[in-house]
Amino acid sequence: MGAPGTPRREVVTGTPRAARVDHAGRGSRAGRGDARPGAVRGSKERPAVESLALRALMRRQLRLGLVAFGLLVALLGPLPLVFTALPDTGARPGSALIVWAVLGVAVYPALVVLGRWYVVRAERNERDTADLAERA
Amino acid sequence: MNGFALLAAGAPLLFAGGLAAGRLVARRAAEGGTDPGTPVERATFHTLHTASLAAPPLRAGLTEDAARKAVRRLRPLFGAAALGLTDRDRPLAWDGPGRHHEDTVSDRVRQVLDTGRAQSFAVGCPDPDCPVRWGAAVPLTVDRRVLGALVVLGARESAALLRAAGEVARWVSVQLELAELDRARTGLIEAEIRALRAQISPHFIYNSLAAIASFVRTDPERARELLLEFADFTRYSFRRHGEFTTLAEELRSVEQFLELVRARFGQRLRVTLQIAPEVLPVTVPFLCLQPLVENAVKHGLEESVERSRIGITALDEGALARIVIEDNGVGMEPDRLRRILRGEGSPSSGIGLRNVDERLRQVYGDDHGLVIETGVGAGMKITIRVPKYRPGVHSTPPRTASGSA
Amino acid sequence: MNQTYGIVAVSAAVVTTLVIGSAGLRISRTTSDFYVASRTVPPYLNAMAISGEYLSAASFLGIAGLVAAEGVDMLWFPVGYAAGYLVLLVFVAAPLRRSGAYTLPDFADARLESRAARRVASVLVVGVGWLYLLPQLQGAGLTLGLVTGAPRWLGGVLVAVVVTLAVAAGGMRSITFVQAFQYCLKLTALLVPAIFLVLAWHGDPRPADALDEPPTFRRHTQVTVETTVRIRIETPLRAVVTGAVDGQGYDGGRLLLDPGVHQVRAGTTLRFPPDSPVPGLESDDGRRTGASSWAAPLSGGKDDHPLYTTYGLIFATFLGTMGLPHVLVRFYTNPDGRAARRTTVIVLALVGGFYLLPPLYGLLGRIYAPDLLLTGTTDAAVLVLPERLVGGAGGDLLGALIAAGACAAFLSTASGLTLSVAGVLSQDVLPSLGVRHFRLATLLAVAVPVTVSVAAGNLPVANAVGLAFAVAASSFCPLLVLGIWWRGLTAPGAIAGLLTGGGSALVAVALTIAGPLTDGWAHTLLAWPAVWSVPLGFLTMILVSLATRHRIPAGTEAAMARLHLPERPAGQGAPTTRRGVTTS
Repeated sequence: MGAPGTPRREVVTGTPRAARVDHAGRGSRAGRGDARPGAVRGSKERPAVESLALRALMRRQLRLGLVAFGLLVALLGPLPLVFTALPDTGARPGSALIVWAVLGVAVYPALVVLGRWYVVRAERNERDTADLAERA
Repeated sequence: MNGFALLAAGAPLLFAGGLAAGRLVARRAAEGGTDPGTPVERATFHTLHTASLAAPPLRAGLTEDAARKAVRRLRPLFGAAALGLTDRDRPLAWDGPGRHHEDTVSDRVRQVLDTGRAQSFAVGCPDPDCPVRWGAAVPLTVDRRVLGALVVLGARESAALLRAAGEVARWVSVQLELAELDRARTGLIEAEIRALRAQISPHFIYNSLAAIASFVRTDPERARELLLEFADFTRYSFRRHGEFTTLAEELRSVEQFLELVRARFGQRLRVTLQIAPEVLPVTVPFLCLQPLVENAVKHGLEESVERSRIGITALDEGALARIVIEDNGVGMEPDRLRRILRGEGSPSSGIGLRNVDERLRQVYGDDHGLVIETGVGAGMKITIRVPKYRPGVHSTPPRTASGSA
Repeated sequence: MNQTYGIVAVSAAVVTTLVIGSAGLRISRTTSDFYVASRTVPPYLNAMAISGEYLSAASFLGIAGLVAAEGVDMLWFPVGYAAGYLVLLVFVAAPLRRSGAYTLPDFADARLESRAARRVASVLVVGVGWLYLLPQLQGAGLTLGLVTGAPRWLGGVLVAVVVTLAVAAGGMRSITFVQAFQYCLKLTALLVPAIFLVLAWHGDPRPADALDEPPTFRRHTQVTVETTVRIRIETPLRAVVTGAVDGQGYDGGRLLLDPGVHQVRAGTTLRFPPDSPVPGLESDDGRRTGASSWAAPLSGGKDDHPLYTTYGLIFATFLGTMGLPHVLVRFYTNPDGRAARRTTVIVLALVGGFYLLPPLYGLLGRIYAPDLLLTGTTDAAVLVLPERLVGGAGGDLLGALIAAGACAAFLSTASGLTLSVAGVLSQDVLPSLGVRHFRLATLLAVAVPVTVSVAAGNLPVANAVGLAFAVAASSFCPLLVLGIWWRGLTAPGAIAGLLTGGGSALVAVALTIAGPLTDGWAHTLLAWPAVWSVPLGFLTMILVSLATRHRIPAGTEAAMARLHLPERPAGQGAPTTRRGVTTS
């Protein structure tokens, strides 16, 4: 390929759809990708059961997300207030150490544990919905 | 300094723009209720609005469900006692009183369906409170075929009502015609995929099975492997659902295809695969690579005796994925290739190329057709650029409660 | 710092990056390992790539510098940078992947079916990307300047050129492997020296208490200030001065500095005896700034209302991470929503693990490199520590390793940002150029921030990271959260919210940087806009959506199903029957 002596190649492309005579009644929407192929079938209404299952799943996932977010806020949110309430570092050098230990180290494992917990619960929610759908 | 002056100047503009956009939109929302307009304007608006409400259900075709919704939405247009839709065999939907006249009406409808002409008729009723004294039936025609009829029942004979019924019937006919077009289009895409599947089958299946058979005695383990490959490959190619798939799945199918080809040609075929893993989840049209690879194999092996090299490359290009399939086979005369892509070639050659080109253009637009570099004896290099995202293109249709099996 | 080692290390980092970028494809020559080549990226690898792209110069150099200069309050920066991923995980990760969107504009398009919403999102993406690119280029200037002695602007230009060439020439054919490598390099470059530094610290016959206030010079220390500075002195201080102090010239003369504020002209060299306290730095308008550091969004405001600024920082970083364009595109590499979630948890662990290190450098920097507090270049603390603490050839080698890591930091983030900005530019902002003009878009994507960075010189463009986070938090966070969880979102609502939320955050910070306010509540509110601009963005989006209820996109139900219902297990249509068998 591409070695000297090989015959030259020419670039070939098909004719643009816009420039073609429309013989099948198609091509009317063939602009620069404004066709939404999924939309034709997506407009079908979903069965009520499925819509209910989706709503239930969304509610559960949102509740789970809010709980996880709430835990994050509850854990970290009050910290700035707590730190201002700590005794002055000059008087009690220990309090600075606490701030370092909490913000510099302890926060990160807590974040990972919280994230892991969320993932396990979220996947369980999804499995439940899938099982439900299969049984229905 | 300039950057910040620019920021300082640009930011309030953005802010104002946001406010303006919000208010404009809010005002537009309020317009419907506050500006009454002239009576004519109001009537026009009312009619158009009613029609637009009835259109979506009808676009699903003339079904019971669609007819029920459409009739309920269209009836206010007439102010008539009752409105009904039928197809060729039976009444589909009825809105309003006068059900007890079904026999009279269905007789008339049958005549309308047979003749294809509208009719008006008097309805005799012993019940003095019955609001139905007169009726009209108008055919619904698409391509000069009568699909059904629209029936209006009213208190007295009225030419205006008859004319209105005629107009509405025509409008419904147009909607039904559009529905058929929609169906035809989806059908066409499916037909194109079916055509591809049909094209894969006879030759390839025969050759593969023959090759597998040749291993059964000498290397039963290999034969078993190949049979499993064959099973996977056909299962993928003949799967029922979905117009799209992921590049990863498509490549897996190509892998199986090539494994089967190698069973026949052995060391004469060398394949190099270079894949950037981040493009593997990209959504591509179903069976868009396999025909191109098959084409490369054909040019490389079946039409020449030398060793054949095929390279398959998939690269990340930001918002695009570039897929290149290159072979060192006999190549093709550019003009002949052009004719094939225009659909003027002989039916036996290059259907795969044209089919893939068509579908890529249809889905992604003309910028994304096949780009082929070739010459006689110069091999062939086919390039596809697929956008990573395009509205409406999804590899997996969302799991449905009914269709999860 | 030994320049030869430094140059070799930085060049090695660049070359390795380019080599992995151009050759890091999975290549297979026999069909038997096709399967390996066509396997999607596993979560851990993608998580490394995301972390590699995310840990920018601000993380690598900036946090240590800030901690050295300002102390423990600055620990909120890494905490916020990491916690942002938890918020991303619980609200966005899986649904975003399932939407099939590659960029943020794609998401707006997929969810709202609106070209206008797509366009507005595109403009904001480009804006956020440029704001984030600025500090990367400045960080490059600082590092290369320190390592090679080149002028500040040259480093930024050099990085821009490397990135443009790599991206435009298609050199980054497989960015996942490159970014994963960069993460490893960055982690190693901080971890290995840290071990030696802690050992050296431990072996120090008189380890100073890090919490001493103010810090003191540990030995005879010579400081040359590059720009004219004003220093505050609390107790009388002796120094040998070459240059000009308070307008009076000295040439190696001894000077007793009285308590109060003194002006030291650029180029002056001060030599302090051991155990003398380090003078504080005073900014021109009377506010005390510890350091001009790129990770410190508007450090000036800090002293006014520390509690509010801390919460402003928390808001911006917690909610802003999900709106960073270069982070989101990496999620597309995940095969499905479930993998996206798992990837995010691993990112949390990787990023969190990394962030244990920079504060340590900050602490050591305060003890062993206090002169940086005086010159205001505390961002260099990470780079100079090995030389100060370990010394000798070992110190030089460790310093070179750190320089390579810093180089990886700004290269990876800059190339990721350039790619995503160029992608959006070529697709949405300049669509008339066509899809083939990606190179031109790349050039534009880099040229604008480079020009601003060179032209702006010493202006506090450093604050751009905080600004980028604040803008992303107030515009894209509402779009993503409401788009994923609320069926009522309409295109007009989303547009109005994007413009008011993102726009007001932009105005606020632009006013603080260029504007007249220097202190008081108004200044603080503008300097830390996220606290009010995020709710503003949410509120606008919700209210306008409610007012335009009839414009709820027709496909909302289908879109919601796509976002939230789990995908079919991959390859359900064709279960794998045989794997790992070799033939031929």
